[in-house]
Amino acid sequence: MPLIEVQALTKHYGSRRGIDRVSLAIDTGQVFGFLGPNGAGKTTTIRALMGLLRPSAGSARIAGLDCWSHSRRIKEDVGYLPSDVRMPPWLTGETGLSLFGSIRRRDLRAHGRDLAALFDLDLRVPVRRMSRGMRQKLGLVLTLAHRPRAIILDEPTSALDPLMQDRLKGYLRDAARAGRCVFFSSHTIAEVEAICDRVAVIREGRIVANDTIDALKQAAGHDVVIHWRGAPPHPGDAPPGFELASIDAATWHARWIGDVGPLVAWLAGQEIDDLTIARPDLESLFRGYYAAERDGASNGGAS
Amino acid sequence: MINVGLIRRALRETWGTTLLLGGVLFAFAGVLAIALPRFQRQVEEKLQAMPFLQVMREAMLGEGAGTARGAEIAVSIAWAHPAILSLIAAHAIICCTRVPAAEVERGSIDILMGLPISRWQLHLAEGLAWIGGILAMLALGIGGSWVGSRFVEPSLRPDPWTLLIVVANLGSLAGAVAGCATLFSTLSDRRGRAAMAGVVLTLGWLVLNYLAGIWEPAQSVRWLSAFDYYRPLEIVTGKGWPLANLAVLLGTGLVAWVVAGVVFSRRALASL
Repeated sequence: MPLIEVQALTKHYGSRRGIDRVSLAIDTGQVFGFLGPNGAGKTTTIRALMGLLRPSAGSARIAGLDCWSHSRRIKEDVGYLPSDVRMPPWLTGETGLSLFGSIRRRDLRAHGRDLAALFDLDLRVPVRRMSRGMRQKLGLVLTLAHRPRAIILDEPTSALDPLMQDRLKGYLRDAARAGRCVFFSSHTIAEVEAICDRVAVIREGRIVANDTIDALKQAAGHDVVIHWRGAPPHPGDAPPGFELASIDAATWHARWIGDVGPLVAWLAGQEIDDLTIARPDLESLFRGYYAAERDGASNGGAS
Repeated sequence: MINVGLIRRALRETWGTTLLLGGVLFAFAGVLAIALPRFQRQVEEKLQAMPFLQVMREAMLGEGAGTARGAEIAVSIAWAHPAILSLIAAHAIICCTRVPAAEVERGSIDILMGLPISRWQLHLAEGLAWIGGILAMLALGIGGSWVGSRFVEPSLRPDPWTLLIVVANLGSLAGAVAGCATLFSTLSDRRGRAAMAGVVLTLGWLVLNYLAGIWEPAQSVRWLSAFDYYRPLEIVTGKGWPLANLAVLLGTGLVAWVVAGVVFSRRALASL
């Protein structure tokens, strides 16, 4: 059974769209990327998981328990970091660990200090004197100090420098290897591609893709760029599966769906100067999903 | 149900307010305890010369204010003084509009609610922290009054037991304000709005109570004002514990607090 399970989750804010029939399943040992631009519904989904919002329809469960009605029990084993970390100005790392430990009824100081060392955070500095990056680090320390089984992070790297981002990614990969599950929401595609096993893309409150990154790339086919030496052939001569996207002088940009063998065989009989056949990166896929949205909108219909 | 960590957090958030307002209350209660008995004769002469002020005093303290004398009237005036009432109400409104309105506005509600706590636990912790705060405030007020009364002759000093009953009545009035402020907080995402609603309600109660003393038509709705159940003069003139008044005030506060808890447990929480 997945540790985090969301089924047909819907949340409307009056007439305003929130999320619509979002379904996700995240297993233990997995780093799950949740991609979407600002306003797509990532934070709404997470807030429903954390019991901050009551769903209009559908369900959100963690460890088999409903996130709204069993919110308190669920959060004993969940670490949640919101996208914009705000804390009382008087709070220091030390008081935070003591206070959060008192609320969680656990001693968080030992692992909290290890985490502070990992993120180069001085636990004696109060929040009012912290930069945004330091607040983010403190948020991470307080989120992870109780070694939660489910780690839910909403854009956790937005205020971290590249070195700290790498340390966080390393920590999360280790956590997943240790059998914990990581829900990693972001609009930075490269970091999702770097650490996540599986990814869901949310667009206008709906999930438009949900699979492993490899499977998504496989389904998307290959990006093909051909530089012709002489006159290019007629595009209609290309084998089935070849979708010409654009022509730039003697260069074709195309997509190939399926096994590349027939394409290579066809190209072997042509005069070409240069050839690139590559799986698209996640960023191209992501942009593809959003380009489809824009095309749909310009054609007067929602996707 | 009770989470000590949450109470610690709430106390840490409110102790500055309690200390500041309690310190002012200490000083003010001390000054009134010194000044009122000393200048009572001059005050009485002025009141005789200006009957309207006499009416105002009756409206503020209740019937019989014109005939009460000595320590009785001094205690009554001191503990019904607008400055003291304002300090107590301000403490209730500031402390009780923190959760959820101020936490939502500040953006710290997400981290707080990411902890394994129920909303009722948080609501209860905030309520208990306020009770701790108001007890400290009232203790400081009593302390100020006691210190001040050392500087007047013993016959003009208030009876400690009577003073305790007056302060209990004042505390229950604060409870009514606090319960309503908590309800406004749970209905809002902005602390300013919740606090303003609390201030308007308290001022409305106060004005209604004054009006009822000087304007016949307002008397029929005087029971709607929480200040109608705060009667320091009746207590100091020997009527003992005003149990009915305490019950009305505490009941109002409790009902408002419970309704606030129900609203809080059901509402959506999201930082602005």
